[in-house]
Amino acid sequence: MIGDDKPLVRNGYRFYTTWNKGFALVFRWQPNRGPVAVGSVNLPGYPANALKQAQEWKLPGVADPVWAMLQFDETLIPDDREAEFRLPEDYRVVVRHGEQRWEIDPYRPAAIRFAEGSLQYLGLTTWMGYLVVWDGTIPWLLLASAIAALALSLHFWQHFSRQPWNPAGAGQVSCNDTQTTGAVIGSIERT
Amino acid sequence: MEALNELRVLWGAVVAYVLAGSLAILGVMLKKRPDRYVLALMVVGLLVHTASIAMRWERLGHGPFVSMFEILTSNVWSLMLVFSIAYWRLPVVRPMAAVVMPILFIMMGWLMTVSPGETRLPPTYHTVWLFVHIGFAKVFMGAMLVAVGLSGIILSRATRFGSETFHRLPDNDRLSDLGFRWVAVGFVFHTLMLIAGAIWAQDAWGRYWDWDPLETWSFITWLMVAISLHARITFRISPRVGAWMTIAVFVTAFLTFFGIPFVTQSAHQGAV
Repeated sequence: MIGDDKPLVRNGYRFYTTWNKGFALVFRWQPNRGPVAVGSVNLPGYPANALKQAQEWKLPGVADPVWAMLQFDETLIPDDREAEFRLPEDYRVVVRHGEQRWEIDPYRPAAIRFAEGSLQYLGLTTWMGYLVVWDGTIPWLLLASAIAALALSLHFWQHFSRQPWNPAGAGQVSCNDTQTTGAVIGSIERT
Repeated sequence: MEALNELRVLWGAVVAYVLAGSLAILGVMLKKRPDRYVLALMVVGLLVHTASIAMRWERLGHGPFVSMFEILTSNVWSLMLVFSIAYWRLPVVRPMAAVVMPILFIMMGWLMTVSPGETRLPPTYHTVWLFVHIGFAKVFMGAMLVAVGLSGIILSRATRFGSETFHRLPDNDRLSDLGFRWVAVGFVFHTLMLIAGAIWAQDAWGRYWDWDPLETWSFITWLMVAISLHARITFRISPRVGAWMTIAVFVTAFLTFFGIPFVTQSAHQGAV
Protein backbone atom coordinates (compact mmCIF):
# COMPACT_ATOMS: atom_id res chain seq x y z
CA MET A 1 0.00 0.00 0.00
CA ILE A 2 1.17 3.51 -0.77
CA GLY A 3 -0.12 6.75 0.70
CA ASP A 4 0.91 10.18 1.90
CA ASP A 5 4.19 9.81 3.80
CA LYS A 6 3.94 6.03 3.38
CA PRO A 7 6.23 4.81 0.62
CA LEU A 8 5.99 1.63 -1.38
CA VAL A 9 9.30 -0.22 -1.06
CA ARG A 10 10.36 -2.55 -3.86
CA ASN A 11 13.90 -3.91 -4.32
CA GLY A 12 15.39 -1.06 -2.31
CA TYR A 13 13.54 1.61 -4.30
CA ARG A 14 11.10 3.78 -2.40
CA PHE A 15 8.06 5.21 -4.17
CA TYR A 16 6.51 8.32 -2.59
CA THR A 17 3.31 10.06 -3.64
CA THR A 18 3.66 13.69 -4.75
CA TRP A 19 1.39 16.67 -5.33
CA ASN A 20 2.01 16.26 -9.09
CA LYS A 21 -1.11 14.86 -10.77
CA GLY A 22 -3.31 15.44 -13.78
CA PHE A 23 -5.66 14.07 -16.42
CA ALA A 24 -4.89 11.54 -19.13
CA LEU A 25 -6.72 10.86 -22.41
CA VAL A 26 -6.90 7.18 -23.33
CA PHE A 27 -6.86 6.25 -27.04
CA ARG A 28 -6.75 3.08 -29.13
CA TRP A 29 -4.72 3.26 -32.33
CA GLN A 30 -5.72 0.79 -35.03
CA PRO A 31 -3.16 0.97 -37.86
CA ASN A 32 -4.07 -0.19 -41.33
CA ARG A 33 -1.54 -2.98 -40.90
CA GLY A 34 -0.06 -4.18 -37.65
CA PRO A 35 -1.10 -4.63 -34.02
CA VAL A 36 -3.55 -2.41 -32.12
CA ALA A 37 -1.99 -0.07 -29.56
CA VAL A 38 -3.77 1.36 -26.53
CA GLY A 39 -2.15 4.18 -24.63
CA SER A 40 -2.77 7.31 -22.61
CA VAL A 41 -1.75 10.87 -23.36
CA ASN A 42 -0.81 12.51 -20.09
CA LEU A 43 -1.90 16.14 -19.99
CA PRO A 44 0.12 18.73 -18.01
CA GLY A 45 -0.30 18.67 -14.22
CA TYR A 46 -3.57 19.99 -12.78
CA PRO A 47 -4.37 22.52 -11.30
CA ALA A 48 -0.88 23.99 -11.82
CA ASN A 49 -1.52 24.05 -15.59
CA ALA A 50 -5.29 24.39 -15.52
CA LEU A 51 -5.32 26.59 -18.63
CA LYS A 52 -2.90 24.43 -20.60
CA GLN A 53 -4.67 21.06 -20.68
CA ALA A 54 -3.32 20.07 -24.09
CA GLN A 55 -0.63 17.71 -25.32
CA GLU A 56 1.04 16.77 -28.59
CA TRP A 57 2.25 13.28 -29.40
CA LYS A 58 3.10 11.06 -32.34
CA LEU A 59 1.07 8.09 -33.45
CA PRO A 60 3.04 5.02 -34.59
CA GLY A 61 3.66 5.26 -38.30
CA VAL A 62 2.20 8.78 -38.63
CA ALA A 63 4.68 11.48 -39.65
CA ASP A 64 3.04 14.58 -38.24
CA PRO A 65 2.23 14.88 -34.54
CA VAL A 66 -1.33 14.79 -33.21
CA TRP A 67 -2.53 17.42 -30.74
CA ALA A 68 -5.33 16.86 -28.20
CA MET A 69 -6.93 19.17 -25.65
CA LEU A 70 -9.30 18.58 -22.73
CA GLN A 71 -11.92 21.29 -22.25
CA PHE A 72 -14.30 21.74 -19.30
CA ASP A 73 -15.91 24.67 -17.47
CA GLU A 74 -16.20 23.18 -13.97
CA THR A 75 -14.04 24.50 -11.13
CA LEU A 76 -12.74 21.22 -9.78
CA ILE A 77 -10.45 22.59 -7.06
CA PRO A 78 -11.75 25.92 -5.71
CA ASP A 79 -9.34 28.24 -3.95
CA ASP A 80 -11.56 28.93 -0.95
CA ARG A 81 -12.24 25.42 0.39
CA GLU A 82 -10.92 21.90 0.53
CA ALA A 83 -11.67 19.74 -2.49
CA GLU A 84 -10.85 16.35 -3.89
CA PHE A 85 -9.16 15.87 -7.23
CA ARG A 86 -11.67 14.14 -9.55
CA LEU A 87 -12.65 13.84 -13.17
CA PRO A 88 -14.87 16.61 -14.62
CA GLU A 89 -18.47 15.54 -15.16
CA ASP A 90 -18.97 17.47 -18.38
CA TYR A 91 -16.10 17.84 -20.80
CA ARG A 92 -15.07 17.52 -24.43
CA VAL A 93 -11.90 16.52 -26.19
CA VAL A 94 -10.50 18.40 -29.19
CA VAL A 95 -8.06 16.63 -31.53
CA ARG A 96 -6.02 18.33 -34.26
CA HIS A 97 -3.80 16.87 -36.94
CA GLY A 98 -2.34 19.29 -39.44
CA GLU A 99 -5.19 21.45 -40.69
CA GLN A 100 -7.89 18.98 -39.57
CA ARG A 101 -9.81 19.40 -36.29
CA TRP A 102 -12.25 17.10 -34.51
CA GLU A 103 -14.38 17.57 -31.38
CA ILE A 104 -15.02 14.30 -29.58
CA ASP A 105 -18.21 13.72 -27.64
CA PRO A 106 -17.03 11.57 -24.73
CA TYR A 107 -20.43 9.83 -24.47
CA ARG A 108 -20.55 8.88 -28.19
CA PRO A 109 -16.93 8.89 -29.32
CA ALA A 110 -16.48 8.30 -33.02
CA ALA A 111 -13.25 6.95 -34.49
CA ILE A 112 -11.04 9.48 -36.26
CA ARG A 113 -9.81 8.28 -39.63
CA PHE A 114 -6.20 8.90 -40.65
CA ALA A 115 -4.52 7.75 -43.86
CA GLU A 116 -2.38 5.39 -41.73
CA GLY A 117 -5.14 4.03 -39.47
CA SER A 118 -7.93 4.85 -37.06
CA LEU A 119 -7.82 6.61 -33.67
CA GLN A 120 -10.56 5.78 -31.16
CA TYR A 121 -11.05 7.78 -27.97
CA LEU A 122 -11.64 5.39 -25.02
CA GLY A 123 -12.02 7.67 -22.02
CA LEU A 124 -10.57 10.09 -19.49
CA THR A 125 -8.50 9.01 -16.52
CA THR A 126 -5.91 10.52 -14.16
CA TRP A 127 -2.19 10.17 -13.64
CA MET A 128 -0.02 10.79 -10.59
CA GLY A 129 3.66 11.55 -10.27
CA TYR A 130 5.76 9.56 -7.80
CA LEU A 131 9.08 10.36 -6.23
CA VAL A 132 11.36 7.35 -6.65
CA VAL A 133 14.26 7.28 -4.23
CA TRP A 134 17.36 5.12 -4.21
CA ASP A 135 20.57 6.39 -2.68
CA GLY A 136 23.40 3.94 -2.19
CA THR A 137 25.37 6.32 0.02
CA ILE A 138 22.76 6.38 2.78
CA PRO A 139 23.94 3.26 4.71
CA TRP A 140 27.50 4.66 4.60
CA LEU A 141 26.32 8.08 5.79
CA LEU A 142 24.52 6.39 8.65
CA LEU A 143 27.62 4.35 9.51
CA ALA A 144 29.82 7.48 9.45
CA SER A 145 27.32 9.36 11.65
CA ALA A 146 27.09 6.48 14.12
CA ILE A 147 30.90 6.23 14.34
CA ALA A 148 31.16 10.00 14.86
CA ALA A 149 28.56 9.92 17.66
CA LEU A 150 30.26 6.91 19.27
CA ALA A 151 33.70 8.56 19.06
CA LEU A 152 32.28 11.73 20.58
CA SER A 153 30.73 9.75 23.44
CA LEU A 154 33.97 7.84 24.08
CA HIS A 155 35.98 11.05 24.04
CA PHE A 156 33.78 12.69 26.65
CA TRP A 157 33.55 9.49 28.70
CA GLN A 158 37.36 9.24 28.94
CA HIS A 159 37.63 12.95 29.67
CA PHE A 160 34.99 13.00 32.41
CA SER A 161 35.79 9.69 34.10
CA ARG A 162 39.03 11.21 35.46
CA GLN A 163 37.11 13.49 37.82
CA PRO A 164 33.99 12.75 39.88
CA TRP A 165 30.68 14.19 38.79
CA ASN A 166 29.68 15.20 42.28
CA PRO A 167 31.93 18.17 43.12
CA ALA A 168 32.98 19.03 46.63
CA GLY A 169 31.24 21.97 48.23
CA ALA A 170 33.06 24.94 49.71
CA GLY A 171 35.22 23.69 52.57
CA GLN A 172 34.33 20.06 51.75
CA VAL A 173 36.19 17.23 50.08
CA SER A 174 34.34 14.83 47.87
CA CYS A 175 34.75 11.22 49.06
CA ASN A 176 35.48 9.84 45.62
CA ASP A 177 37.68 12.72 44.50
CA THR A 178 41.02 10.95 45.07
CA GLN A 179 43.14 13.63 43.46
CA THR A 180 41.69 16.42 45.60
CA THR A 181 41.67 14.25 48.72
CA GLY A 182 45.31 13.34 48.20
CA ALA A 183 46.26 16.97 47.79
CA VAL A 184 44.40 18.00 50.93
CA ILE A 185 45.89 15.15 53.00
CA GLY A 186 49.34 16.09 51.69
CA SER A 187 48.87 19.69 52.78
CA ILE A 188 47.64 18.59 56.22
CA GLU A 189 50.71 16.35 56.70
CA ARG A 190 53.04 19.16 55.73
CA THR A 191 51.49 21.51 58.26
CA MET B 1 -15.14 12.16 32.09
CA GLU B 2 -11.90 10.25 31.50
CA ALA B 3 -10.33 13.39 30.05
CA LEU B 4 -11.37 15.35 33.14
CA ASN B 5 -9.86 12.72 35.41
CA GLU B 6 -6.59 12.91 33.45
CA LEU B 7 -6.50 16.66 33.94
CA ARG B 8 -7.23 16.27 37.67
CA VAL B 9 -4.34 13.84 37.99
CA LEU B 10 -2.14 16.23 35.98
CA TRP B 11 -3.11 19.04 38.34
CA GLY B 12 -2.07 16.79 41.24
CA ALA B 13 1.34 16.34 39.64
CA VAL B 14 1.71 20.08 39.04
CA VAL B 15 0.81 20.81 42.67
CA ALA B 16 3.50 18.35 43.83
CA TYR B 17 6.05 19.95 41.49
CA VAL B 18 5.13 23.45 42.63
CA LEU B 19 5.41 22.42 46.28
CA ALA B 20 8.80 20.84 45.60
CA GLY B 21 10.05 23.91 43.74
CA SER B 22 8.68 26.38 46.28
CA LEU B 23 10.22 24.42 49.13
CA ALA B 24 13.56 24.33 47.30
CA ILE B 25 13.46 28.10 46.68
CA LEU B 26 12.47 28.79 50.28
CA GLY B 27 15.25 26.51 51.49
CA VAL B 28 17.80 28.48 49.47
CA MET B 29 16.47 31.84 50.68
CA LEU B 30 16.34 30.74 54.33
CA LYS B 31 19.63 28.84 54.02
CA LYS B 32 17.98 25.55 54.94
CA ARG B 33 18.35 22.23 53.12
CA PRO B 34 14.94 20.50 52.92
CA ASP B 35 16.46 18.21 50.26
CA ARG B 36 14.66 15.02 51.28
CA TYR B 37 11.24 16.64 51.17
CA VAL B 38 11.99 18.34 47.86
CA LEU B 39 13.17 15.06 46.32
CA ALA B 40 10.19 13.18 47.76
CA LEU B 41 7.76 15.74 46.30
CA MET B 42 9.52 15.56 42.93
CA VAL B 43 9.21 11.76 42.91
CA VAL B 44 5.54 11.94 43.93
CA GLY B 45 4.92 14.51 41.20
CA LEU B 46 6.67 12.32 38.62
CA LEU B 47 4.64 9.25 39.61
CA VAL B 48 1.34 11.14 39.45
CA HIS B 49 2.37 12.79 36.18
CA THR B 50 3.29 9.39 34.73
CA ALA B 51 -0.20 8.17 35.66
CA SER B 52 -1.77 11.18 33.91
CA ILE B 53 0.22 10.58 30.71
CA ALA B 54 -0.52 6.84 30.84
CA MET B 55 -4.28 7.52 31.21
CA ARG B 56 -4.27 9.80 28.16
CA TRP B 57 -2.12 7.31 26.21
CA GLU B 58 -4.57 4.53 27.02
CA ARG B 59 -7.59 6.66 26.05
CA LEU B 60 -6.23 8.05 22.76
CA GLY B 61 -4.11 5.06 21.78
CA HIS B 62 -0.95 7.08 21.28
CA GLY B 63 1.69 8.87 23.31
CA PRO B 64 2.00 12.61 24.00
CA PHE B 65 3.65 13.54 20.72
CA VAL B 66 1.23 15.65 18.68
CA SER B 67 -0.34 18.81 20.14
CA MET B 68 1.33 21.58 22.12
CA PHE B 69 -0.45 20.28 25.25
CA GLU B 70 1.03 16.83 24.72
CA ILE B 71 4.49 18.14 23.88
CA LEU B 72 4.48 20.37 26.95
CA THR B 73 3.24 17.70 29.36
CA SER B 74 5.78 15.18 28.06
CA ASN B 75 8.58 17.76 28.24
CA VAL B 76 7.70 18.85 31.76
CA TRP B 77 7.75 15.14 32.67
CA SER B 78 11.09 14.42 30.98
CA LEU B 79 12.76 17.61 32.27
CA MET B 80 11.56 16.84 35.79
CA LEU B 81 12.85 13.28 35.44
CA VAL B 82 16.33 14.36 34.31
CA PHE B 83 16.47 17.12 36.90
CA SER B 84 15.28 14.77 39.69
CA ILE B 85 18.06 12.32 38.78
CA ALA B 86 20.59 15.17 38.85
CA TYR B 87 19.13 16.40 42.15
CA TRP B 88 19.40 12.92 43.63
CA ARG B 89 22.89 12.13 42.34
CA LEU B 90 24.53 15.55 42.83
CA PRO B 91 23.61 16.54 46.40
CA VAL B 92 26.23 19.29 46.61
CA VAL B 93 24.58 21.37 43.88
CA ARG B 94 20.96 20.76 44.87
CA PRO B 95 20.31 24.46 45.52
CA MET B 96 20.33 24.89 41.74
CA ALA B 97 16.67 23.85 42.05
CA ALA B 98 16.02 27.50 42.90
CA VAL B 99 17.11 28.34 39.34
CA VAL B 100 15.66 25.35 37.50
CA MET B 101 12.22 25.10 39.07
CA PRO B 102 11.04 28.60 38.02
CA ILE B 103 11.79 27.60 34.39
CA LEU B 104 9.64 24.52 34.86
CA PHE B 105 6.94 26.62 36.58
CA ILE B 106 6.71 28.71 33.38
CA MET B 107 6.28 25.56 31.29
CA MET B 108 3.65 24.23 33.70
CA GLY B 109 1.79 27.55 33.53
CA TRP B 110 1.86 27.38 29.74
CA LEU B 111 0.68 23.76 29.91
CA MET B 112 -2.36 24.83 31.90
CA THR B 113 -3.37 27.41 29.27
CA VAL B 114 -3.27 25.25 26.12
CA SER B 115 -6.11 23.07 24.92
CA PRO B 116 -5.92 19.43 26.01
CA GLY B 117 -8.14 18.43 23.07
CA GLU B 118 -7.98 15.01 21.48
CA THR B 119 -5.38 14.40 18.80
CA ARG B 120 -4.74 11.87 16.05
CA LEU B 121 -1.33 10.44 15.36
CA PRO B 122 -0.20 11.36 11.80
CA PRO B 123 0.70 8.40 9.53
CA THR B 124 4.41 9.26 9.68
CA TYR B 125 4.39 8.83 13.47
CA HIS B 126 3.73 5.09 13.31
CA THR B 127 7.39 4.19 13.66
CA VAL B 128 9.85 3.32 16.37
CA TRP B 129 11.96 6.31 15.24
CA LEU B 130 9.37 8.57 16.86
CA PHE B 131 10.43 7.30 20.28
CA VAL B 132 14.14 7.27 19.44
CA HIS B 133 14.19 10.79 17.92
CA ILE B 134 12.03 12.40 20.61
CA GLY B 135 13.71 10.45 23.41
CA PHE B 136 17.13 11.79 22.44
CA ALA B 137 15.71 15.32 22.18
CA LYS B 138 14.28 15.08 25.69
CA VAL B 139 17.56 13.89 27.18
CA PHE B 140 19.31 16.80 25.41
CA MET B 141 16.86 19.34 26.85
CA GLY B 142 17.11 17.75 30.30
CA ALA B 143 20.91 17.93 30.28
CA MET B 144 20.80 21.55 29.12
CA LEU B 145 18.33 22.39 31.90
CA VAL B 146 20.73 21.10 34.54
CA ALA B 147 23.56 23.07 32.89
CA VAL B 148 21.35 26.17 32.99
CA GLY B 149 20.73 25.60 36.72
CA LEU B 150 24.47 25.54 37.35
CA SER B 151 24.97 28.57 35.10
CA GLY B 152 22.30 30.46 37.03
CA ILE B 153 24.24 29.91 40.26
CA ILE B 154 27.48 31.15 38.66
CA LEU B 155 25.80 34.28 37.31
CA SER B 156 23.85 35.02 40.50
CA ARG B 157 27.11 34.98 42.45
CA ALA B 158 27.96 38.29 40.81
CA THR B 159 25.34 39.79 43.16
CA ARG B 160 25.68 40.09 46.89
CA PHE B 161 22.53 38.06 47.48
CA GLY B 162 23.72 35.29 45.17
CA SER B 163 27.22 35.11 46.60
CA GLU B 164 25.83 34.89 50.15
CA THR B 165 23.09 32.43 49.24
CA PHE B 166 25.29 30.02 47.30
CA HIS B 167 28.57 30.47 49.21
CA ARG B 168 28.60 26.86 50.45
CA LEU B 169 28.49 25.46 46.95
CA PRO B 170 31.65 24.56 44.99
CA ASP B 171 33.54 27.45 43.40
CA ASN B 172 32.62 28.77 39.98
CA ASP B 173 35.35 26.81 38.21
CA ARG B 174 34.01 23.51 39.53
CA LEU B 175 30.44 24.47 38.75
CA SER B 176 31.49 25.53 35.26
CA ASP B 177 33.27 22.21 34.76
CA LEU B 178 30.14 20.37 35.87
CA GLY B 179 28.03 22.52 33.56
CA PHE B 180 30.44 21.72 30.72
CA ARG B 181 29.83 18.02 31.35
CA TRP B 182 26.07 18.37 31.14
CA VAL B 183 26.37 20.42 27.95
CA ALA B 184 28.66 17.71 26.53
CA VAL B 185 26.08 15.04 27.41
CA GLY B 186 23.47 17.21 25.74
CA PHE B 187 25.70 17.54 22.68
CA VAL B 188 25.98 13.77 22.28
CA PHE B 189 22.21 13.33 22.58
CA HIS B 190 21.49 16.25 20.25
CA THR B 191 23.78 14.62 17.68
CA LEU B 192 21.96 11.31 18.11
CA MET B 193 18.63 13.15 17.80
CA LEU B 194 19.67 14.64 14.45
CA ILE B 195 20.85 11.24 13.17
CA ALA B 196 17.64 9.51 14.29
CA GLY B 197 15.57 12.33 12.79
CA ALA B 198 17.40 11.97 9.47
CA ILE B 199 16.67 8.24 9.41
CA TRP B 200 13.01 8.93 10.15
CA ALA B 201 12.79 11.68 7.50
CA GLN B 202 14.41 9.43 4.89
CA ASP B 203 11.85 6.78 5.67
CA ALA B 204 8.83 9.10 5.71
CA TRP B 205 9.62 11.63 3.00
CA GLY B 206 12.48 10.22 0.93
CA ARG B 207 15.02 12.81 2.07
CA TYR B 208 17.17 12.76 5.17
CA TRP B 209 17.64 16.54 5.30
CA ASP B 210 15.54 19.28 3.72
CA TRP B 211 16.56 22.48 5.55
CA ASP B 212 13.00 22.97 6.78
CA PRO B 213 12.72 25.51 9.65
CA LEU B 214 12.79 22.92 12.43
CA GLU B 215 15.78 21.10 10.92
CA THR B 216 17.63 24.34 10.29
CA TRP B 217 17.08 25.65 13.81
CA SER B 218 18.00 22.26 15.30
CA PHE B 219 21.24 22.45 13.33
CA ILE B 220 21.84 26.03 14.53
CA THR B 221 21.30 24.79 18.11
CA TRP B 222 23.76 21.94 17.49
CA LEU B 223 26.33 24.41 16.15
CA MET B 224 25.85 26.65 19.18
CA VAL B 225 26.40 23.72 21.56
CA ALA B 226 29.53 22.75 19.62
CA ILE B 227 30.82 26.35 19.69
CA SER B 228 30.17 26.68 23.44
CA LEU B 229 32.06 23.42 24.12
CA HIS B 230 34.96 24.41 21.89
CA ALA B 231 35.12 27.89 23.40
CA ARG B 232 35.57 26.42 26.88
CA ILE B 233 38.46 24.19 25.78
CA THR B 234 40.16 26.36 23.17
CA PHE B 235 39.75 29.86 24.55
CA ARG B 236 39.48 28.90 28.25
CA ILE B 237 36.61 31.32 28.74
CA SER B 238 35.63 32.40 32.23
CA PRO B 239 32.84 30.56 34.08
CA ARG B 240 30.61 33.61 33.65
CA VAL B 241 31.02 33.72 29.86
CA GLY B 242 30.53 29.94 29.75
CA ALA B 243 27.35 30.32 31.80
CA TRP B 244 25.98 32.94 29.41
CA MET B 245 26.77 30.68 26.44
CA THR B 246 24.94 27.78 28.09
CA ILE B 247 21.88 29.97 28.67
CA ALA B 248 22.03 31.17 25.05
CA VAL B 249 22.07 27.55 23.85
CA PHE B 250 19.12 26.65 26.09
CA VAL B 251 17.07 29.64 24.92
CA THR B 252 17.79 28.76 21.27
CA ALA B 253 16.89 25.12 21.85
CA PHE B 254 13.71 26.13 23.68
CA LEU B 255 12.66 28.46 20.86
CA THR B 256 13.47 25.74 18.32
CA PHE B 257 11.30 23.12 19.99
CA PHE B 258 8.48 25.36 21.20
CA GLY B 259 8.58 28.38 18.88
CA ILE B 260 9.30 27.09 15.38
CA PRO B 261 6.14 24.87 15.29
CA PHE B 262 4.11 28.10 15.36
CA VAL B 263 5.71 29.52 12.22
CA THR B 264 6.66 26.55 10.04
CA GLN B 265 4.45 25.34 7.21
CA SER B 266 6.47 22.21 6.47
CA ALA B 267 5.43 18.63 7.14
CA HIS B 268 8.11 18.49 9.85
CA GLN B 269 6.32 20.48 12.53
CA GLY B 270 7.16 19.13 15.96
CA ALA B 271 4.22 20.28 18.07
CA VAL B 272 1.08 21.19 16.10
